[in-house]
Amino acid sequence: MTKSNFFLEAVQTISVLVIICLVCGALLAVCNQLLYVSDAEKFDRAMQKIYPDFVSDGDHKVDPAFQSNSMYGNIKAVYPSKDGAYVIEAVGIGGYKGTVTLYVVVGGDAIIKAWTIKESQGETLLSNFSDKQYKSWYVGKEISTDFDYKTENFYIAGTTMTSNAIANAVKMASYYCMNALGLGENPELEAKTATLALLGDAYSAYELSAPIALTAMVDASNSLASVWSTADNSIAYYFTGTGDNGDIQAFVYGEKDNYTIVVTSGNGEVVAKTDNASDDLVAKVTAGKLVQVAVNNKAMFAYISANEQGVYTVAGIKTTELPKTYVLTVTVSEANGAGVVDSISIVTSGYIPGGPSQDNTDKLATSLVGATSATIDGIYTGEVASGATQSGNLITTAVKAVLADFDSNLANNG
Amino acid sequence: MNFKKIKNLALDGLVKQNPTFKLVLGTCPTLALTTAATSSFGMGIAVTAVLIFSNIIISLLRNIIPDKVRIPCFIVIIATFVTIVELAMNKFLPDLYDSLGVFLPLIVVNCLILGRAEAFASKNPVLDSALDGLFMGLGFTAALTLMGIVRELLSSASIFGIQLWDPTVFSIKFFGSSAGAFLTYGVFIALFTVCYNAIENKARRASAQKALAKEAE
Repeated sequence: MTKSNFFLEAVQTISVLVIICLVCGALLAVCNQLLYVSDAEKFDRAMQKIYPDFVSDGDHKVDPAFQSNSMYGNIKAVYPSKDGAYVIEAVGIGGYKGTVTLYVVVGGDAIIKAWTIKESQGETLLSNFSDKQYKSWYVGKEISTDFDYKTENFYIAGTTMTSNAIANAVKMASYYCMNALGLGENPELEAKTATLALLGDAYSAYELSAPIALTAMVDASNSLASVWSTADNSIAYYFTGTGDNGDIQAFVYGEKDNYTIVVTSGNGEVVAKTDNASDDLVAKVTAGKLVQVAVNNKAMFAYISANEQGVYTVAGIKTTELPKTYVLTVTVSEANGAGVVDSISIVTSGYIPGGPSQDNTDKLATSLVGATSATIDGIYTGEVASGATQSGNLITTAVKAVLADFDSNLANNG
Repeated sequence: MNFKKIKNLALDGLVKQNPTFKLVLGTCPTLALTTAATSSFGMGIAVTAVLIFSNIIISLLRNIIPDKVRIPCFIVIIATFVTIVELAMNKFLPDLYDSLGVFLPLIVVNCLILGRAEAFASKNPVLDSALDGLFMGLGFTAALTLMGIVRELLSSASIFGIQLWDPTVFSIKFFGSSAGAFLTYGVFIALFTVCYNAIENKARRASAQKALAKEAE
């Protein structure tokens, strides 16, 4: 074949392929325009299937204050019905390769009437099951943010992550209904209100955080909820807040109408407490401290259980399945007006056998010696052992929390 | 085109080269979607539509498409029709669209469609290719629907969603599982092969007897 023949053939071949692609693309564009299913149509179809009684009762603007929640997901739209029910389009996080969006129908009596999946990111095994096998989950129950899909058996083996996202979407819808629409009981709001009432006018401008899931945070002694619970009292809510009077942490025990509340300042001093708070309980909440830090742009938690003259015992808290919690002893001293890590020893290793070399994981700890609050992120990025990201995150979390605490104490004590 | 040719194409698609039981093509949807007769039939019709239209276009373009890029061209054409079928099904048959799930876009890589494009449509005229697509698709649809009916009946005591008896009285859930799909498929292939061979042997014997009789004359 001559050079010109080869060139001609190549041009012809490419041209045919390009033309076919262009024609097919144009055809698909036309078909997409003709056959597009709008959101309104999708909504009508879903209602026809799950709640034929729906009759639109105007528009509802989603309240931005309760539109999203870091634990559950977010709200895309709310459709009020003339019979007093609401259809909530809620996105649940924590699914298989993404989120799951549901339409959840909540009646005016705060009972979940029906729900259906609008869309699911990532193909899931759940699509292989018929509606009968899972659409009865949550139906007939009162809205709640405490649904546990595992104990209530609202999952199918093999679809655990999607079932988790569905649970989160239902919780998100419940959260919105309770807070923005005033449906059902709202113990979380009541706990917050009781805490702010206890604090008085000096803290009236404070806004308390959403409750932090202490039961999901496992430290070396099981869970943080158990660390802060006494024989008589189980912790119900843990809120944080910040304002002109500094950071505060609120520990709320018991149930509605009989809350026991202890509020501490950022450095562990009791700011306010209810009369029924026992000395044992106060000792518990002031013995340790939960510190939130950002590691690799993620909100992470560490629990400082002891600090004796710069020698900290600190746990990087497990919030996911792997790895286990790391507990470290970290010694910090002052240099140039800031805390510097002198030594780190691992008390409880979160290393999982079968993971990357434990030596490599442990190197992460020693590499942080000499770090300050200003330099720790750079050190971590440079020294992270491939395959040990989660361990690295926990160790860094613990050390960052210690440095932040030391620097804060330094600033407070001049 | 004469009647004999149409008859041959029909016999090829439905029996002699039945894509499911004889050529064992398109096994993925065969195993995954035959839990219910409705989804089996829906998948069969979707594949038939794609087969007919892609065969027509490929046959029309068979003298234009260069040999070196024929496979990418076929794939683009097949993918276009699969997407159109997907859009149409989502618009007009949303329940079926939901039940077919990921297997609908996966028709693009169904070896039956690419196989017919490569083996038949790229070498034959438009009408022949269209009929080949139609009969192959009908053969595929018939096989899937038959398997769907048997599996749905045994596992859920219903056919096309119509409950025939209380499944708690008698049903074999195993046939709704993946292992049940393999077993059903194997049994169907065995039965099809036995019947096909018996008929073919009978026809062969008859023609041999005819030939002997002719010789004797």
